Amino acid sequence: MAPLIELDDVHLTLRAPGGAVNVLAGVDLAVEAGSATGIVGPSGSGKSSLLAIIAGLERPTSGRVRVGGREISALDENARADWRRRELGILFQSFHLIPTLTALENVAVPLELAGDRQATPHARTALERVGLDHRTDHRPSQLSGGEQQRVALARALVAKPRLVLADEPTGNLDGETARVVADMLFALPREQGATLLLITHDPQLAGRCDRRVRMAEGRFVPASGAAERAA
Amino acid sequence: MSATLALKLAWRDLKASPNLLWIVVALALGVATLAAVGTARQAVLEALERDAAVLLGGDVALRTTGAPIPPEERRELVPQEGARTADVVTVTTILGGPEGEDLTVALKAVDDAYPLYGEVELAPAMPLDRAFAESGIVVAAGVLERLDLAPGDRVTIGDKTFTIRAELQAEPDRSGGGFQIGPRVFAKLGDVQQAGILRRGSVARYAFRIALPPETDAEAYAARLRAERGDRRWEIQTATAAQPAIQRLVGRLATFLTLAGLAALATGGLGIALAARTHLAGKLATMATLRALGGRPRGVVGLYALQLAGLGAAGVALGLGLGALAPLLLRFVPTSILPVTIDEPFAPAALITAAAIGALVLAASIWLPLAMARRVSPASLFRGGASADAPATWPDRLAVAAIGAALVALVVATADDARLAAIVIGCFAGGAALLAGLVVLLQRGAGRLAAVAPPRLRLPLREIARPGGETTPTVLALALGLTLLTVVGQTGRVIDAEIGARLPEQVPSILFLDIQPDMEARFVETVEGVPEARLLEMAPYLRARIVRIDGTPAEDATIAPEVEWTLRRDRAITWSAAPPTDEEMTAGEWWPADYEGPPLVAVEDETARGYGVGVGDTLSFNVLGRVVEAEIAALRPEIDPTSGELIFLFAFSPGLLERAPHSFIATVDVPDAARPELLDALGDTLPTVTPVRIDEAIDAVRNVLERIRAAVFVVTGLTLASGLIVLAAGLTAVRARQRYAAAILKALGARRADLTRTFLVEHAATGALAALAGVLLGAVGGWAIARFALDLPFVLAGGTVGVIFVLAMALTVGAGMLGLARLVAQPAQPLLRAG
Ligand SMILES: Nc1ncnc2c1ncn2[C@@H]1O[C@H](COP(=O)(O)OP(=O)(O)OP(=O)(O)O)[C@@H](O)[C@H]1O
Ligand SMILES: [Mg+2]
Repeated sequence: MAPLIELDDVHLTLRAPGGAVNVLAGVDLAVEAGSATGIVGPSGSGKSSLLAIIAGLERPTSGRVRVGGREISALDENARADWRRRELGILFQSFHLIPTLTALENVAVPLELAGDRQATPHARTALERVGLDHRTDHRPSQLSGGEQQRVALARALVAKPRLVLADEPTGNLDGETARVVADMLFALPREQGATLLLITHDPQLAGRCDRRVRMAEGRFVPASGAAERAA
Repeated sequence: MSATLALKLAWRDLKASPNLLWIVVALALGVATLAAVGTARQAVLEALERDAAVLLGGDVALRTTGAPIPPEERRELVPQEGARTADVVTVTTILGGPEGEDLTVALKAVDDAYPLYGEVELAPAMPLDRAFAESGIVVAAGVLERLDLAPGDRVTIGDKTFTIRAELQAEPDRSGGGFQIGPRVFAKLGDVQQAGILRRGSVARYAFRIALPPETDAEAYAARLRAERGDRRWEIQTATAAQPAIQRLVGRLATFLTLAGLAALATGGLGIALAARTHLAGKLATMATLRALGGRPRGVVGLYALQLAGLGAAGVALGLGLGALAPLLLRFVPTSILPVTIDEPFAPAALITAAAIGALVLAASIWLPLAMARRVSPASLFRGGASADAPATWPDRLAVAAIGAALVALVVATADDARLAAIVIGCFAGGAALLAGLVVLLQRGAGRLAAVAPPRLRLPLREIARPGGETTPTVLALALGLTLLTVVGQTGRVIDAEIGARLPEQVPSILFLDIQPDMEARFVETVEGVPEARLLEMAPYLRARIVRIDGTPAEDATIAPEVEWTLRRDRAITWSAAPPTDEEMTAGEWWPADYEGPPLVAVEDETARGYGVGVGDTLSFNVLGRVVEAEIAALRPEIDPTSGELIFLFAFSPGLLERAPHSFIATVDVPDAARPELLDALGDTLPTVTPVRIDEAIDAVRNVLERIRAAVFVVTGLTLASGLIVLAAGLTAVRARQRYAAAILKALGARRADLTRTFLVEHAATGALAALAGVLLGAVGGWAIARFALDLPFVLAGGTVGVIFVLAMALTVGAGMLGLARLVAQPAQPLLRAG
């Protein structure tokens, strides 16, 4: 079977006032459907940028990105939006909750975009699962960092996506909550056959993945001893 | 915080958010209007005072209608040594050209002493007496052109031939306030007397003007005359009080325009508040960071306060500059409207008031945003950023209310008409409160609806329900701007309708004045000689002034305001043995056909009610210097102005008045094609009869109204411009919020169409609310003005209101769409990466 995600010599160069930055410098990656992959690597190595490219939010400067057998960068904007809505759940490093909506409304957005009449009850259940049923009517600015992160996670998972991209899903959480959240994430491949791609600095979380890749300076490097040991 | 850091931050902000410049524009617009109106008002009033004696043509003028003051009385009137006097007679008449063409003109016949003050300027330049030599006359610019004549050509007035000598360049005693049909023509009084148009009883106005020796108190002199001569045989005018009509008009207009300027400022203030709020909301993180790094709250927020105040001060200064210069435009106002010349208008008091009002508006509009910024705690940095949505605290609300109260006090105290100002401000505040309530209702409703609506509509509904923010001020500002526009459009329609209604359905095309009693038969004959012409009505006619109402001197009587006008000047009276056909008296009875007793009078119903008199009471009239007391025999139904009938408020029993010198007045309906034939025939047989083209007279009225409406529209345009500035500021605020939300929604799989729908529903809903509320409030305001201020029947200007509504909708939705296309097309990642 062909891998769900296939990256072939992907480059990303961003222009900034100080000059062009080579964010990704030739990335090859293949991710099997139903697997859990952990991406680790130092800050600024290009992990989040890679996720954005897979999500179709960023166009690579060169190289091929295939997800589910389709060339993502060849799809038009609406087709990419439809694909994201149907198949993708995404959790951003800085959450990106809509500031004017409450926690519950934020979680309901993906379902409402899909036209689900049961959006609100489903969203409530999703919030309960991340332990936030008492914070449904708060707006993001009234939530702690960890609470915002959990709302963002509930939003990423609420529409039962086939592919979950999670950028540091436990970065702001205490040990116990982090474990609960991680359990939820890893249940996805098991229970729904979903594919999980997550970025983390937490060796323990990385350790629970089927596979770990390490990034440095915009490309994959052989996994270090530390990452291997965590396995 | 160091001053350099403060300056650096402030400068960067300005470069980054150019929409802060709206603060300058909004204040400049409003302050300029106030300053300009205040300056112009003072300049005009000062000029009127300065030129008062010139405008009146003397220090005191005694006016009569129909006949001059007899010579023996004049001697008693001017006892003083050194006083000079002049006689001036004005009469509407016809100037006939050599080819039979004709023109209705306002003839001014003057004696050798004229003018007592000021100079008449002629082209070619010559003294007046040289122009008058050998039956010379002077005509206003335009007359030569209209009749295709040149100086030296001969024209006729009545049955005398004159030679045109010069064109009039400047007339010192321009009437200004008074109403004049046709262009001015000057002739020598002695010549005009020979023309046969000034017989006793003709509709000529006689002014006996007196220039008192210097140091004489004209008011005291006039007061003594009034006291000694009891029954007001003449209308006595003094220079100081000569232009009350213009003064009142200037005062009214100034109050109205000031209020419009204030409306512009109030709307602009909302825009300022929005711009300040959006700006500061974007700076909350910076402020929190600066404070977390050790900046004092006062210093950090003070930096932004200074920034906003600086911009505001620039706006006020710009407004003052523009406002001080704008009154120079008064020089271009034709002298027929403004009869004085304005030198260098400068009114420091008006400028100070405008600046103070501008400053208060600025303070009121930036107070809450700054207070919001001050409350942001650095701790918010640790919770994912600061929010600008916290409600204002009570002390801050009170502070803003106090500033508002000071503003209202200042405006009311400096207005010409404090009552009117207070009422309008009250209505404005009431309208604003009502609108704010409507916005809250809309938001609540949208919130409720979002819970049950189809999923795809929930997001758009939630966008509307979102509490606080920019919706309320944007809707308010736009709706108030539209309200004003609708009020003006609506009022214009009411006035038009009134003019239309006053235009009789069956328009008698020509009104004939000065038909002498001995000409009556010949006149009827001549009209009947033209087959297309039809004599509609003919009645004896005199002008008389009411001097006593049931024994009380008219000036002391209590009169309902709607009939006060009937006492201001002399009125047309008539007499008849038979009652008008088809007319039922509402009270009393018309006199028998052969009645020969003391004078009886039938009074129009509404007028009698306004005077508080009824059948059996008496009215005393000054008829050509004699006081005639008449008993009210009957009350006649209100005269329908659309009937085309001549309107006489007072109809007498024949007898006494018949013996007074009088003339007849007649209306004739004649098609345009047959008009020359009729006028020629009358010109041959009865040259002294004066035809007045009714359509021309109506055009003259319409012309004046059009000018006033144009001025009003300009100022209303300013208000709407302020409204649009607010809309722009509001949209900028909306945009900032929507950009980020749009990026997130895209990442979650929203199509462009989803985004467009989401944001468009918001624009459309708020736009519709603003437009609907604006035109509804405007229509109500228009109704109130028609009903209470103009006392005219209300007519809905459906077309205008509809157009304003559609335009407003198109504008809000269009302006929303404009940015929306870009917003929806923007790539998501740059915004998400930054977050
Ligand atoms: N708009 C931009 N223009 C230029 N360079 C950028 C831009 N955005 C990000 N970068 C650079 O791209 C590189 C990769 O960023 P990215 O966010 O992918 O790193 P990351 O591996 O996720 O880091 P972290 O672990 O800190 O989240 C960084 O060096 C960053 O400075
Ligand atoms: Mg990252």
